[in-house]
Amino acid sequence: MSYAFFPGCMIPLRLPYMESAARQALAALGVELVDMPNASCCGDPISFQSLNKETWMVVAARNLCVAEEMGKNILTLCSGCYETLKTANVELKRDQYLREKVNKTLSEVEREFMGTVEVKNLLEVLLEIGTDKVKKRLVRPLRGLRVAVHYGCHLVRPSDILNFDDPMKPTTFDQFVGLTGAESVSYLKKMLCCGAGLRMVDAEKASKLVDMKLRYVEQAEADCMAVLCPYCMIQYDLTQRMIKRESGANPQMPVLYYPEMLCLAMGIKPQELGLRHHRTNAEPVLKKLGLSA
Amino acid sequence: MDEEPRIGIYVCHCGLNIAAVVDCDKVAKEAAKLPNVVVSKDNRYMCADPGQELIKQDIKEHKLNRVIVASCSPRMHEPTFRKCVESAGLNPFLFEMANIRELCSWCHIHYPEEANEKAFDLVKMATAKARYLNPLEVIKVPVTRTALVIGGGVAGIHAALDLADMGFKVYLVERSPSIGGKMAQLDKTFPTLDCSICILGPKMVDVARHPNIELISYAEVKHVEGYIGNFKVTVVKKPRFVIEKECNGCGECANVCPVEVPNEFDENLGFRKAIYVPFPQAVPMKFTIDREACIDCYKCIEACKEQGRDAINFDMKEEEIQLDIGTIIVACGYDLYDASKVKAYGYGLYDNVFTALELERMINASGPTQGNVIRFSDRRTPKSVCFITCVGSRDEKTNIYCSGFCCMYTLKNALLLREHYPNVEVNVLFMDLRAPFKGYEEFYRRAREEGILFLRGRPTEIYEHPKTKNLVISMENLSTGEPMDLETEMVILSSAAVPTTGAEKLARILTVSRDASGFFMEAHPKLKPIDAATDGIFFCGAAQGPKDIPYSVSQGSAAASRSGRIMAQGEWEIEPIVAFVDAEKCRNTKVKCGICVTKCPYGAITAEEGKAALVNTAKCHGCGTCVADCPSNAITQRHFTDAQIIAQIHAALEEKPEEKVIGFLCNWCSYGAADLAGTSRFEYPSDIRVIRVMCSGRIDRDFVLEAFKKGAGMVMVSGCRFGDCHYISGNYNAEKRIKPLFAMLPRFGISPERLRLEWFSAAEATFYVKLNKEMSETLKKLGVERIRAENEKAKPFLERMLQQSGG
Amino acid sequence: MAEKEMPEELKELVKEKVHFCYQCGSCVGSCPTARAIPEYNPRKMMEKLILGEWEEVLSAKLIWLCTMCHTCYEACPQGVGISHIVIELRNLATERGLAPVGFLEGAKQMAATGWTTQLTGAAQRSRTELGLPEIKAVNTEEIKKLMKSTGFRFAQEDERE
Repeated sequence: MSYAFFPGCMIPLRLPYMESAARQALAALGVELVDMPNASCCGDPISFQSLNKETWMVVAARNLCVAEEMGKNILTLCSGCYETLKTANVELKRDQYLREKVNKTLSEVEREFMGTVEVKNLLEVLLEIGTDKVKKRLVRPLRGLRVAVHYGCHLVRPSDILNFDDPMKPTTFDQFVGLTGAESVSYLKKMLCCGAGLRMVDAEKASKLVDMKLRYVEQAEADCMAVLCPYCMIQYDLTQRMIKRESGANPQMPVLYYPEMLCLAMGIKPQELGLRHHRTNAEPVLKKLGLSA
Repeated sequence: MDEEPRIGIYVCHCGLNIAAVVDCDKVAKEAAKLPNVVVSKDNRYMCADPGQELIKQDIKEHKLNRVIVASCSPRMHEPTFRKCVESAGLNPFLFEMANIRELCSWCHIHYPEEANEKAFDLVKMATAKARYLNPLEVIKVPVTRTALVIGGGVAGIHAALDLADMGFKVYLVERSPSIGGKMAQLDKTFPTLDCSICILGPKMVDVARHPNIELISYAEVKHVEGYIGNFKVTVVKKPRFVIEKECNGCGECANVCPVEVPNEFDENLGFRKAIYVPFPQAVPMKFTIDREACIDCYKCIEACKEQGRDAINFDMKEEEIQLDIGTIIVACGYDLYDASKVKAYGYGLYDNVFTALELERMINASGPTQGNVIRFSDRRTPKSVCFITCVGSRDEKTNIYCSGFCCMYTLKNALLLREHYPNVEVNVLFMDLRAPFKGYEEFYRRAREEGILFLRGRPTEIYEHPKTKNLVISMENLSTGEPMDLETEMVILSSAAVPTTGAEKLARILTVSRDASGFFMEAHPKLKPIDAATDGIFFCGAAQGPKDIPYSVSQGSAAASRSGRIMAQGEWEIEPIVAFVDAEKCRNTKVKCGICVTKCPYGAITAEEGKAALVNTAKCHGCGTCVADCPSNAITQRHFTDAQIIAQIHAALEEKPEEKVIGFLCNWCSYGAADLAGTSRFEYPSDIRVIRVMCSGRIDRDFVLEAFKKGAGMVMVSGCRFGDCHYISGNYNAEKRIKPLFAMLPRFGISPERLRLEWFSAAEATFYVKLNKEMSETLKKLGVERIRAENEKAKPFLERMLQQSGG
Repeated sequence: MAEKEMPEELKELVKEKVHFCYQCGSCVGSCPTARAIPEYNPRKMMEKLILGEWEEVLSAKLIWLCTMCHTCYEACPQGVGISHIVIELRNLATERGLAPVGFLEGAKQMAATGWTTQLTGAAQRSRTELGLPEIKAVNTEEIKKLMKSTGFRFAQEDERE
């Protein structure tokens, strides 16, 4: 199984430990990740699409063309990239008029969108590998770990384009967390947005949204959160330190990127992963699992 | 008709409605010069007594055998004048109208010259058709005085009782083991808070006891053929494995049965045995064995024998019953929308989210929890309950319509809760509260009096508290404009009403239409809300659309009345505007054809192998689609024959054809729109010459070609919008037939913009006006010279094509 | 306030989508921004558009507060698709020079490097430490050309400023 690897901007340039965990987990599962020559930022679905939808679509289409030339489906690691690339792919495939218009612009850079590849998120790729095969590699189940699963928004919405899971009560990510042996705990406002889209304009209120979610996670007595998107990672892992509660203390909820969970469950040593790069201390998780940092 | 036509023409002034624009005297005088016209007069009011007397006198005096009245729309007074000529001894189908009011004087007010030309053309066209008219006799069919009611809910029960009381024999077929429907499942009804089964029970018993009603329960309608007054129905009785005659409902069998399965009547909240009656007041009070649940222990047989009976028979098979039926009433009710599809509300995921019907069963004293409303997470009574309305209704993702009764049943449920549990906190979350009928708003007021809280807002989603299993509802409180989280111990969802399972199958068996939401579709939403488009079939109750009990009961009685109307006199008249096949021309005798069979939306045509196709005239509705699609021109539609239509085309195009638009309008929609444009006094150019057909399906390609051959400037083919066709599929067939001409005509040299194919409803007068203005522009833009030249060039091609098709 | 003619694209969108809004509040119930910032209310925003007060909506900071979580898009029973409307409003506001600096910075960064963010020294060290491959440069000429062809003029380096 081989994919055109699209890690996006945030992961490689700001959170390389996420890239490392993803590469290690997928390699162990026999997935080949092929670099996309000259791929750029997907075209951020929030900050870029907000400025000019047409430019955004065309930039996304350019990236799709790169994958089409490779003849491989795209694997995205970031939910934002997933939304952008899949939206462009689906809309260009189904709207002939739009496709003609976009291809006219793309012809200026000698590219043409053909509609020959698919865009997949990490969980879709794992489903393609097959949950049985994945489970076989998980030799060190994360038993006893109570995980508050955070889907994020762009993995499942807008559902008429992404068509991946239910947009309000999805279950796939929970199932995959369960596959590692950990327990996905039920908590209130599970689908509440991390607030990343608000950070650029009002950082304080963005942190308020983070605090809101963390309180519900704490109420459910989770050991950690699990995310699939770098923006969610930044919101929950990085900015937790900025939240001062009435007690004066910060919340201390570790946040794991799902491939990190896969790696740990595969028996990969924590040192091989970049857990130390997390801004919210992840050691309590390791302790609960009986692993040393 | 062998004798020469002797035509009488009457041009009506209609006071000043026509005469202010059209010089009726002049038109009459000009018309007198037309061949075969014996008498041509004008008169102030043709529809009034003096006018009608004039016609009757002239028929006798001048031995007229055709009468033409040039006045208002045939949709208005055709029946009036038909009766008039009939009373003078002339066959009513030898009468024709020219619409010079709605289609002429009212819409070309400021262009009298053009209006007069057009009026004369319309009279000439009517005259041309009249020459080819034939006398027709209405078809009388005998009527079996037996009715079939499908569905034993409250609507079906009332329909059956009313018909039986009228003296007709009624078969009531119900697919579950007992009649009663949804109403039997309810605890109380709004706005009276009557105990539901208490008011329904006696009616159910009446049905069982009535000498004129034969109740066939645990049975379904499998096949229906025939036509109004003469249906042949096949009913399949499912095997109960209990002999109804022997069973006295004592229940000893159920006592010993070891199997327990979820009880559908209790919305699967409780259990029943494999041998069961659905509820204590069931009619018929006979047990039924659920063969799939049964483990074949035969303890029930022993218990029954101990009671001195031998009512159980495991060898029972399906039984087919053939019935001769005069009229059919469809009363098969509704189902509730599966609330688990509204994922955001957590039904099916969370323990304490229920549907309204589940609540009814819980709160009912003989329900699965003995009248106790309990949370399923901890089996205790909730301290707070939230009702959510419009679940699955008014939502473009689920069902777009409003289900009509949910607001009211929500109020009722809220009041019931408050009655049982005076201290429970009850909230109703709603967008709008619809309480339109008698006593309904007062019921709403009463709910408020009882301290039920109403919060306006449509919840976005519901979460479950991980520990307490309470529900947290996220919504905006529209009154304060603030988002809020409402924590409650139980949520009740008022889900939408949807068509019952099996509605699609039943619709096909009966050849009736269903509307866009899947409910059975009435013939006319305002004036014929009970009749199906297929004659002899009626709808009542929620089968036709979600409705409450009083409305369902009213419709049940209405359906009985409509049925009785047909069965009362023992025979029924059918309009003779039907199709018939010329056996000698029919292709099916030589090769396998059957095109007409597939095109007929009523299944009125049969074509046995090697034999000519045969039209069942009683089933034929007169759309003319088979006529137009027959490749051998073997089918004729009476009163709308090819000769009659072609004659109108020729008459219209005798003078200045290049300046004219030949417009084919269907009786129900496009002609209606044209009439409405006139009634509304909308002005538009006068280029169009209208030829009325019953359905756009009648329009043969040859008509279009003939019109161009005769030099027409433009041709316009129109009909109802897709989905609205009065004859179900006529317009689809017309589009399939006419659309290819757009590609074909340019090859003969005719500009494609000279043909228009338009679909619009009888309400769209403004569309019709705009269309005429556009067509006039096109004619002007092309100009007479160019049109003439194109027609000349195309003529040989058109002639060849028309020859080939035998047109 | 002078009522100018609503821009054609917005008019189409309002006619085809926003007019169906029957003010149920489903979009507000789980809206993250509405929870964090009381002045923000997507339902009221739609009502303003229906009433023709588009200019007020465009020029306000409010339309830039949406997190694009699309919950409103999923929850709306009338298919109004609020978040998508907000994108359209933001596009129109951008044309009028009203886009927030942070958003424009990202676009400029993309034109310059092909990424919306910069590779920090710390991140580079992490990459090396974790044994990750070098990040290859992106041919930004293509991106710049595409931006130009689609009339996007906010990413140019401020040559003329």
